Amino acid sequence: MTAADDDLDRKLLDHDDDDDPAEVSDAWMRRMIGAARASGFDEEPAPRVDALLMAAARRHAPRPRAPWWARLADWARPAFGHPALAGAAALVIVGGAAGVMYRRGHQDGTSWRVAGPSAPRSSAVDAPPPPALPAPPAPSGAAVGVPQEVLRPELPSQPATLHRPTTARTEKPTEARVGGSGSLGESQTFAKVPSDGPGGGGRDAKLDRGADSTDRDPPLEEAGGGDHDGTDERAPGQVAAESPPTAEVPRLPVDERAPEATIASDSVTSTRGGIPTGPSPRAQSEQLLAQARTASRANNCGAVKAMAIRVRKLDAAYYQAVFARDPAVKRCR
Amino acid sequence: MLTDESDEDLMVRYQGGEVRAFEILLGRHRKPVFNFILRFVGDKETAEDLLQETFMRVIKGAEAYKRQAKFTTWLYTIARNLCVDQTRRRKHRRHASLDAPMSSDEDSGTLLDVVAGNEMGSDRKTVNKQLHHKLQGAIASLGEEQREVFLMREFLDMPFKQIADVVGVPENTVKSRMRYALEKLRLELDDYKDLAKAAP
Repeated sequence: MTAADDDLDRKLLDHDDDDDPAEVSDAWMRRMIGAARASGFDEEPAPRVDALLMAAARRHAPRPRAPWWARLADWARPAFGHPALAGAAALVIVGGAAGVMYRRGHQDGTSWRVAGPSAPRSSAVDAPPPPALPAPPAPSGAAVGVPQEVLRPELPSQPATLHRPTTARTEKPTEARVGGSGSLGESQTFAKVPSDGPGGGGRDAKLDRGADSTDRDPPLEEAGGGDHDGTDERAPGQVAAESPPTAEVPRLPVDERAPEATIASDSVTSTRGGIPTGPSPRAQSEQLLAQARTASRANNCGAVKAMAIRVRKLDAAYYQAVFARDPAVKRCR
Repeated sequence: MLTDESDEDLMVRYQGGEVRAFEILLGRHRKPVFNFILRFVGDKETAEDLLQETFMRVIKGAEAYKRQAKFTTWLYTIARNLCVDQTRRRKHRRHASLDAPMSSDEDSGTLLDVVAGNEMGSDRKTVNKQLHHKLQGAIASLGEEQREVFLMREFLDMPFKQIADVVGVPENTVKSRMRYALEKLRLELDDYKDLAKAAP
């Protein structure tokens, strides 16, 4: 290596791109390259290459990225387009719906009975009882607002626990009292009211009793008399909620009750806008009471206490009025 | 205007399915890439095939292209790798080169001189033709490493840093290769120094 080579090396190694390239290469050689390029040294590729490349570019052009839902649909389309898979999916959906319906119907053991277009029962369960309102005097001895067709003189005398009304309903107390058309609700309390007796000489039978009518109350047949003026001074809901049970009394068969009462009081499922949503707290409480009686007979007082706690949470009024006073439950205290 | 956009922007547009963007890219780079390949491999037909393959790889790799990468670096890396592969393949299957001397005698003409010699109509054309042949011969006489650096530097006007990225060697190595390439070309073209000075 000569000194000139070293110098050239140094120039090249220190050369920046901003420098004039002519500094590091011979100017004549660069001029020669420039002249050659200017006189057609650079060649053009054949036009067919361009045409081929453009055709390939069109064919292989990346597709614009679709939104995620479109990509998901693209992905799922071939899968769910297959008849077998589509059939299986339909089967799963139908089976699932049927299963849910069956379970709901099976849990409460009753058919769904909708209480009519009136307010749903479920909303009334936890509502506080309405204040006792003085009822207007009955002009003809009949229970106020009770339709004649509700009155069932042929109803056999049964103790008060035919079917206990549910707790007070704040939404439609009037309806509960009056009964209304086809939706008696809790008004089965007044289901058997005599139409005779001035001033409401009394009902010849009272299907339930208020909180103040405890065990000392006479049987239903004897419950009438002059101590009733044909009106009920309590709100129907309140009456219903506080009516004590008589555990040993069998329930009246459904078909022997007033139709309206059957519709309303025995519907053990909660409804929301007419659509059953599951067993009502009252129905659950009744089931728990039955279980508690069984447990009490088996001397399983621990289970009875557990059920008592559950009932108290579910339906405090029912607990106070019925569950806690049940002899079988009391035995475990 | 699409034509004013950078290579990288055009590539991103092509990623979005805009074929017109690729058309502009092809128009910008087809000639430099073709001449780079042509000077590298010395054969026009092979150069066209390699040009086609280069842009086909760009098309197929468009979806994976990241905007951070400089498009020309990517493009010339593809072209250079194809040229290197082609040169290595050709070492095993030697063909008669139009630019190679037909005999061992250095002063003997090339095959191209014989084929195209009758086409020269004027002195200027003859001088240019001789100049082209001599330049092409001088470039072909360079070693592969020096040739690629020289072509990228002198014909593509690429900075040393970018050449280093394409070739995959340090920048100083690129400069050293450039120096040796110039040295050799000076020797090869020394006889044509006067001709070059006379060139317009």
